[in-house]
Amino acid sequence: MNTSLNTALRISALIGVEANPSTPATDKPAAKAYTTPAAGVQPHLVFDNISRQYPSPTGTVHALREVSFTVARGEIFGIIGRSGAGKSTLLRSINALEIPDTGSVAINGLKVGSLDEDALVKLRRRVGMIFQHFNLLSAKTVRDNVGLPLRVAGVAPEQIRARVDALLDLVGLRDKADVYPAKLSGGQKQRVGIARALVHEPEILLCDEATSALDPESTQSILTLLRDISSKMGLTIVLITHDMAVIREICDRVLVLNHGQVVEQGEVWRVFGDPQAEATRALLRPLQHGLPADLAAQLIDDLGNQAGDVLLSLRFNGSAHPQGVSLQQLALLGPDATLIHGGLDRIRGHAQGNLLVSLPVASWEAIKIRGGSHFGGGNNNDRFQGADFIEVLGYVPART
Amino acid sequence: MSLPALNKYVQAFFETLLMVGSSALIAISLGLVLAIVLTITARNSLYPKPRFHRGLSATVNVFRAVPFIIMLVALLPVTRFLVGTTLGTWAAVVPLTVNLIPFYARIAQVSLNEVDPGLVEAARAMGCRRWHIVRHVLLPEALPGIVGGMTVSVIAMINASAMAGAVGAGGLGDLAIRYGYERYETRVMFEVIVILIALVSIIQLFGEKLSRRLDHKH
Repeated sequence: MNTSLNTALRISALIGVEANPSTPATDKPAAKAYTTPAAGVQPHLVFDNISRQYPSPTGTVHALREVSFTVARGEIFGIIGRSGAGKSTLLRSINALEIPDTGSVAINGLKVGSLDEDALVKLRRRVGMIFQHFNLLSAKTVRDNVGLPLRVAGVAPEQIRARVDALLDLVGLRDKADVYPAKLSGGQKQRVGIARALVHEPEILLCDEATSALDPESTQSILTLLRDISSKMGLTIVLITHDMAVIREICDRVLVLNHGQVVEQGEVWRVFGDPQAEATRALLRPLQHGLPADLAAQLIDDLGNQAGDVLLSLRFNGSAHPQGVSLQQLALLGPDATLIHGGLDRIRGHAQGNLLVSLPVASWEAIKIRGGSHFGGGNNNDRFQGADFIEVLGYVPART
Repeated sequence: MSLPALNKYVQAFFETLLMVGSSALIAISLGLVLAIVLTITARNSLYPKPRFHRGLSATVNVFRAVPFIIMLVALLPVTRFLVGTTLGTWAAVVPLTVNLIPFYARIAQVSLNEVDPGLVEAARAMGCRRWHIVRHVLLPEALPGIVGGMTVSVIAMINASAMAGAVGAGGLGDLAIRYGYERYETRVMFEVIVILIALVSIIQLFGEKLSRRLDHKH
């Protein structure tokens, strides 16, 4: 992969200048002309107070309500929400496939909503896009699909050929250049989609549920490819998904949309470790090690004077113990403590997750009383330094 | 069968080919243009012109509603103006063409409308202008259906050309009517019908094959 990527970059560096549609010749000198400013000065994308509504048979649908955020250059930014949360509208406002009713989207400070068709065509050649259902042309071969964006931009055939070959190398499909998309697997189709989206060497890549129609294995390989491309080409990626696993896998920051509103945004590890909004928690639930059903059935709220076990949930949010969970700390729960369910994930260098531990009520009481430096005291007696948060889920009576 | 008798069939066969071939050529080209215009002027399409679209669509319906035999007569002045005569094979080309244009336009329009809107969106996102989308997305993607529609249209036209006998256009259908029906020579009628069946089968077979070769969707 590395060598082929380098080849791709070298070749495009060789032919890029003449072929780049945003370079002089046809450029208008007016303010609408599209230029790439120096990196790092301003956010790459600025969404300013965007609202969008549609009429529908059941009344007005508010697809987006006063959405504002920014995306930094070179980051992988995820937008997540349930279907109908407005993700798709938000993503399409970046390349003006949809225009918001109010508010604006700016790329490098240029507002996309105000562009005429010429400027828009030019802009879209700097913003690649891939789709859930790939949207490859069935009547064209892989080569012609990938080359089409260059062809309609008037690039010479030899240059198109060289660039397409380089990109097919990059996505590992050089041997499929002359087949029709119908003969490819889902993962291969998406690779063609990625090659097509990158053929103009864009600065932004938009991913519309790019892995939602793929099997888990293809999903992994496509996500790996996207991460590779992003780091080596310095591309800004904005992706929408309903799958938190995708966000965890490749995103730097995430924005959670619910009913057209931003309910939460921030670095992925923070949002995963300590979700604030109920919508976020609901989306995260499938990824978390919740209480198994058989245990839940046995749990009671109070043991009374019976003997039994207490079930604890230890949660790690990645801020206090980013490197992981100290086994020494866990050992403080005593020799009778049993780790029964749970897991940790390392997200952007922050370990987080939750562990379910059961231990006899007697030892738990003893630990709580011993308290001291490890378990705090007073009104904070649920704190445990070995975890960021500790919660008593309930009790399981001892079998008699 | 004597040579003059055979000659009669050969002549009728070529008259049919000439009539159908030339009208099909004109009608399919114009019909396709009409179909493209109908498709891209629809609401939410590339060049939305809803009022124009509705007007054009209504006009197409009017032409499709008029029975061919009536159109044949109604178009006589137009035919005289274009061809210089209202009799003979060439005179039949005008009504046949006018009859087929809206018919084929509707068939092609269905194929164009069936192109996945996602493909059009992808094309817009990659920086295609609107005519690029017609040229590189709509037409190639709808091509199997457009070709399939040609097969249907040409066969429908062979049928309609029998009625063109009414303007002395000749052709196979006319032969069957004159000899078989009016002179009670049932054998001629059957022979003509066999030739027509063969002709229709060959066109259908060839059309299907071509359409399949152009279709890369599966």
